[in-house]
Amino acid sequence: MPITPLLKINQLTYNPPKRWNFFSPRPSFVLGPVDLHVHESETIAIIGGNDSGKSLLAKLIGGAVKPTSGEILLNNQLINTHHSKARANNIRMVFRHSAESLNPGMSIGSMLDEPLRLNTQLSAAMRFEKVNHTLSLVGLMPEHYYYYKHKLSDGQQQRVALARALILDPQVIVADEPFAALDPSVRSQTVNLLLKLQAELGLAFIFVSHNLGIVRHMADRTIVMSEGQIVESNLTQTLFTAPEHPSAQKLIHAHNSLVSY
Amino acid sequence: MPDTSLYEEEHYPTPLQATWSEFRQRHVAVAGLGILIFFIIMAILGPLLTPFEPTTQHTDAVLLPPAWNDNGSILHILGTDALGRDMLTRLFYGTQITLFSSIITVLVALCFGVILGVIAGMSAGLRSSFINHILDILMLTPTLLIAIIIMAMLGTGLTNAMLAIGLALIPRFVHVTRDFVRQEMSKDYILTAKLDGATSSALFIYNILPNMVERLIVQGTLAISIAILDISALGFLNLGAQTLMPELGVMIADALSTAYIAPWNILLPGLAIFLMVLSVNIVGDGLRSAHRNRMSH
Amino acid sequence: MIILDIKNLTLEIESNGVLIKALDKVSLTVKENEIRALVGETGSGKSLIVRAISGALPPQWIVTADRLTWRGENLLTMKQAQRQAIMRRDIAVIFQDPMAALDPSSRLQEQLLESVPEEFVEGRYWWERNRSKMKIAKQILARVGIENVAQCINKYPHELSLDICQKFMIALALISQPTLLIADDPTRGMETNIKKQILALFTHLNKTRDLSILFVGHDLLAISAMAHSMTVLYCGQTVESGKMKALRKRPLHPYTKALLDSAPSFSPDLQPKSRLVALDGTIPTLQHLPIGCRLGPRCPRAAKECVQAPTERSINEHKYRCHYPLHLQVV
Repeated sequence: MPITPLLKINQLTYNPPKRWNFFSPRPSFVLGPVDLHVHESETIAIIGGNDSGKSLLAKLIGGAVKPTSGEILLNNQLINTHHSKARANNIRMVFRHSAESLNPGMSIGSMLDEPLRLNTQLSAAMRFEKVNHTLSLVGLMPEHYYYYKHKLSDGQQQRVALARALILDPQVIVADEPFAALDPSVRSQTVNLLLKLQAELGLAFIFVSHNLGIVRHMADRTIVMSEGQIVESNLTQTLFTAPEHPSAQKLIHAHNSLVSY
Repeated sequence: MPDTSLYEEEHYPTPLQATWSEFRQRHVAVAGLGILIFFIIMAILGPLLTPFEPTTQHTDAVLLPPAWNDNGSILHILGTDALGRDMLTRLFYGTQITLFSSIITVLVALCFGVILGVIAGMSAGLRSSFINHILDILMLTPTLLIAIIIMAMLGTGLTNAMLAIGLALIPRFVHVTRDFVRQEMSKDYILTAKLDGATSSALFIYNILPNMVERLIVQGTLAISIAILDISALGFLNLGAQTLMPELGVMIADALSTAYIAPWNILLPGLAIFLMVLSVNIVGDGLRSAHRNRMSH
Repeated sequence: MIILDIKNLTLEIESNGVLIKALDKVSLTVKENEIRALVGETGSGKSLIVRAISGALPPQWIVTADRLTWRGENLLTMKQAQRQAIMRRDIAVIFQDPMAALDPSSRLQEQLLESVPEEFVEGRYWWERNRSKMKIAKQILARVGIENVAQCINKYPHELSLDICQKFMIALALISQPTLLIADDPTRGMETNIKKQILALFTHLNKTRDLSILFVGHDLLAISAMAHSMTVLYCGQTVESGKMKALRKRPLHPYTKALLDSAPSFSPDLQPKSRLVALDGTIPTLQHLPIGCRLGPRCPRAAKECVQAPTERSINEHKYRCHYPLHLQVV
């Protein structure tokens, strides 16, 4: 039976701030209201077309963008939609791999040390140990503590980004296109790593992706978004065999037609 | 015993070290650095080496040519000026005053510039553009002109000259800092740090500053060359350091009346200024291209 | 008939006084009316091959090849003007990011009209010629499937969505009626819907206009949906090439197998959430290339022989370079 969900999102909306534009008013995009429940060690994938608001939803949950209204409950406790320690500790974000996702001027060690320094009372020695532990968790070596970003390959960089999210022992990880811009073999490695970590740590994992093959492989539940609304939400297997909403059908059919060759 | 470390052969330099090793490959830049270091050593140790005071007047040896001239004396290796003051001693002291006052000026300007730049870069809207555009106006006017206006208000003197030039240099640093901070703030890694709960100041000190140090060093060296030129120019115009002070610009101005009889009195301080500015510029340029090279790898 | 024939293309780059073989004996052929996929991950040198074909390599890089021919004419020895003529009329290239490849400061119409070859334009006077140019442009836009031609043509690139821009890039490439279209990762970062449209367009063009396509990329899902044959590249070495169907069914090289395994959609009976088969390690950088078969350190089947680069062997049209191919008994 479903116990109380780990993460509960009620009526979350986002209206972009009105910007004074001299030339033309942009057509305003509104997200939501969105309701979403996430259980422990559940994987949820968010899919949708361009400009469907799927990235924005991930950012709202992760706290990178402030919602206009609505509430997020973690373990039945209301989370301040602005900054709060509880969110930083329990909901962590991973961004898509890019040249800008890691700080070029910091060693990997101090990069991983930062969230600990800001959010925990651990001593320097304990922090060091924790960083090393997390490095080995994501399959990196203790030596990587002293490396800088430019010496790491794409896959290793994405592992560091993941380590940064994991280091505070979060309950939820939100990822915005974590597999995009990665090469196939590196992508498989990252998928394996995430599956392994999820099995070990019991994390809830919410990710946005346009690679439906991976969505089908990883996600328990899939959410389809279109024009800022959740139009369909179902178990992945059900959704992939019988999508109901037209925009979901369009996506799934396009994918299936590619696979069936 | 064989080394068992697998990573022995691979060295992982920090970005700053990488820039330094790029810099070392440029022979001209290294030569420039050598000259600069020579001047710094001269400025520090020179006064200890010479037996004379820069103001001591040797009435028995006025306008003595350098020692290699037939009329020269080994006592005053580079000769004396119209008041019989030892040229070498004055050069030592002059280098000290000119070089160090420019470095101090630039350091102070750098601190203020970076602070203002960070405020402008991290805030949006009116405050940001106010700081930026007000300082743009300052940057449009030549430094020397601003300095002269300030001197007219505050009176002459080396401290006032430093103040004036420092004020005129601030906008450069504000611009560099603001642009860089702006550009970095939109990047993903800043967002992740923000999500960790980093405050603005922590964000700047831990995340942005390490990436900016190189740019600041490059800007700083170029600013030093401007400061050297301006301080000696103000000294020459009798607006900065006053006549008694052995400042390089003042020395040239003093020697102007005896230029035909004792050209070395102009030549030597002039040469010192020229070499200092040249070496600082070469070093700054070398750093800049080393930095650019590292970024492109 | 083979139109583009590359045999043992080697490209050497000097780095810190050492010559590095960025491409090592790469072979690739494109037949008339064929869609050939060139598959490889980052750092495999696929973009270098595209640049070697189009002649856009810096002069200090050393290119040697047994054959690099276009319809039997040697591209390496021919005159610059002749090569440029071929590039202008016969071969067209589409780059990865359409937004970056289009001029942001001029309308699509101007960019398109500018590239209409003079030979196609009819009429004597400028107004006639302009009208003729416009007609050609509109035809081509309709052919690549842009709706609302009249509306799109007056816009700037940033005002249009990614897929329209990519279609427009294809239109720009097609306007000189080339025989070969080289598409460098044209579906990168696209949604499934849009990707499908672009791929359908390629297939359509191939069927109706007899256009040969060299499709460069690493999206195997897209590639297997349209390509007839495939060449797999790893670290500047061709590892395997052959008919798409044969390669998918029975890959001989461990790397091809790993690539195919990396797309979960290819194995329908794969249990969800099970471990994907992936090679360990990462692609080596140019400065740290292993000797012999470059897959060696990552290969699950590697053995002592693998420090010698394997020579090309072939079974019918299926070529591979491996000492210990999968599915085959080594004799």
